[in-house]
Amino acid sequence: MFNYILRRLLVSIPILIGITVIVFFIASQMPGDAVLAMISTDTPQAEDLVKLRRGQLGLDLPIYEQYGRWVGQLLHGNLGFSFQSGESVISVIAARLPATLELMGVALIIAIILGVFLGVVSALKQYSWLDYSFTFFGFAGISIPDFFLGMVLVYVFSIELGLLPSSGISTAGNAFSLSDNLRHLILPAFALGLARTASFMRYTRASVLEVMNNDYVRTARAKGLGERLVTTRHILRNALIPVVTVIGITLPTLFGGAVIIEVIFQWAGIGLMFINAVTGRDSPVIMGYVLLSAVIVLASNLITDIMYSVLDPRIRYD
Amino acid sequence: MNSLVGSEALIQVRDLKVHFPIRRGLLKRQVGAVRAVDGVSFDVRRGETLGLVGESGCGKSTTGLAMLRLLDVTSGSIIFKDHDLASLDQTELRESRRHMQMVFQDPYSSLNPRMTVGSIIIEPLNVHKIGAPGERRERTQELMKLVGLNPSFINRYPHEFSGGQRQRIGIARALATNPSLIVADEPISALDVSIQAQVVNLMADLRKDLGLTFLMISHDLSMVRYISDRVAVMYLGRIVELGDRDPVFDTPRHPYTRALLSAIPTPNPKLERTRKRIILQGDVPNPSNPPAGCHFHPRCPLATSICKEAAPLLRNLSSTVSQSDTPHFAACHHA
Repeated sequence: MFNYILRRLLVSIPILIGITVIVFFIASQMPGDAVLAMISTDTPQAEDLVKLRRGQLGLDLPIYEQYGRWVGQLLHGNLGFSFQSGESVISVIAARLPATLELMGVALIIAIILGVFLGVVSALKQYSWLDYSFTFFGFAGISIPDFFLGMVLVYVFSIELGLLPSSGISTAGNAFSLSDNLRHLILPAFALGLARTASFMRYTRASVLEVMNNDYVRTARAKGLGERLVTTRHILRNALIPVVTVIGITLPTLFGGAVIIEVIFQWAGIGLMFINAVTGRDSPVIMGYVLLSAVIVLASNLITDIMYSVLDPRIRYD
Repeated sequence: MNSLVGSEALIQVRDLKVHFPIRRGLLKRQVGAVRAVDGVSFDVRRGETLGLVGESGCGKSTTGLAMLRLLDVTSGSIIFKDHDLASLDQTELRESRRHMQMVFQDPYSSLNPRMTVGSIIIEPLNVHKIGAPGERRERTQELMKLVGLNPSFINRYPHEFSGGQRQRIGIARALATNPSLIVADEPISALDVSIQAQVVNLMADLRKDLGLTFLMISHDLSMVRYISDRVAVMYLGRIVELGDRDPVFDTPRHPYTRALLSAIPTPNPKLERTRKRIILQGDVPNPSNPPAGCHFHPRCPLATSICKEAAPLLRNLSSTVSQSDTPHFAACHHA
């Protein structure tokens, strides 16, 4: 097991290198650059200023040399400095990450609790009206894009009903308080979580149905177990293994989905930071975000695989 | 073998029917029913092995499952220890489960892949609170030894065992509650031929040593002949012939039984060449719409007009068979 994890970690190094190379070169092909985004061409002596600034930021070097400098910094544990603000990228990310993790975490909890619960009910009551209506909402949930759902939620709960704030992570001007923060969190977390709720529900339902028809469930009944024990001990324990994988695979999409939700709700997380960095052609920040998301994807895949072997005794890695 | 068999019935099945509704349309109206088991009556005597044979889809597995109320019974009664299992509520049913257990066909899907062998076998002991909690693990190891498994494998998972070993686990699990009746639903058909004999012999030995009663459901006629005291033959949801093993195999009375038995190959090639086979025409009719009268008449070489109209009752023909004085039933107008 230890060897397996070590091998997976080693394999992820070339993957990370590949991802950063590709993104670095694609990002450099975007029209304009950080200097042009900051300095208007109407400025007197614009050309000289632009040249000077480009020289300071190293943007006049060939692209492979720029990448080399970035990797060189990275190996010293430095992600560089934002072109826009001059702050170190690590501290920018560190300041923004908690808000994103809060959003992702709550969205994920909503999705798991609701999705698994509804999926189990749906399967145990297969072909009932309950099952059909859950299935209908499930398809609706999978089909509706996050951003649209987000806007609908804002329209209904903020604009029409006036119950919840529509943007920000806390009320501006007030001292930060957790309850205020959570009130702001509700809408974006649901907007991000509901689409995943629907997919978790579908997977749970399918998985429970598959397990329900296994002989060992019948065996459990033949042993004289009550229905509750049959359901919890024999059906759910087996049915939830594949659901764990789906949850693991969902983590990266949750991270990506957070970008859009953060923009809609002006949630000051890492996604909003990334969008601002892209408009400002702030490549150190862009690269920092990309590196972080690549690490998240690789880590969640690894964690999923490890969870799998913990949950399912038939799976052993060596 | 027969000395072990009393004449007292351990379980009496009377006019058992299991119909599966066919629902169609938007409102899921019932438009018909698959009559998987359509009026079956028989006794299983204490200490005997009753073989239940028939081709795929004839309702033999459904009969076995319904007898243990693992399927809902449409009508009929199953008298076991003075109770009618067909009308017990869930709590009473759970209690009665300890006296009757099942060995399933597929040793791969019938064991929970996430439980160790030990926890699979010990679970019924915990459910029914059999023995002191501390002794149950010891009992589990005894059971493993009894079925020929190494007791030190108690913490292994089912996937670490071969098919034959898994079926032994299934048998140990079934034995855990000290049941008096074991329904074995095609217990060897999923196993390699080389393993089949071992498992059959294990079951025969256990029956002798523990005084068990077996209902052996199978389409393997040679195995049934080897292990059974009596044999019941099913066709399309009904029993067509029932009697002691040798009379049924040697002098079958029902034309379907004759056809079925003629399909057993003989190991001697010379005899095999001259062996006469009765080839039935057509397929088994759809059990949702069985033929009127005798279910077998469209394929029967002896069928006459009465067979199309009246369903033959299972009647005792032993008086007309001189070689045996034990009852030999067949449901045929021409037997």
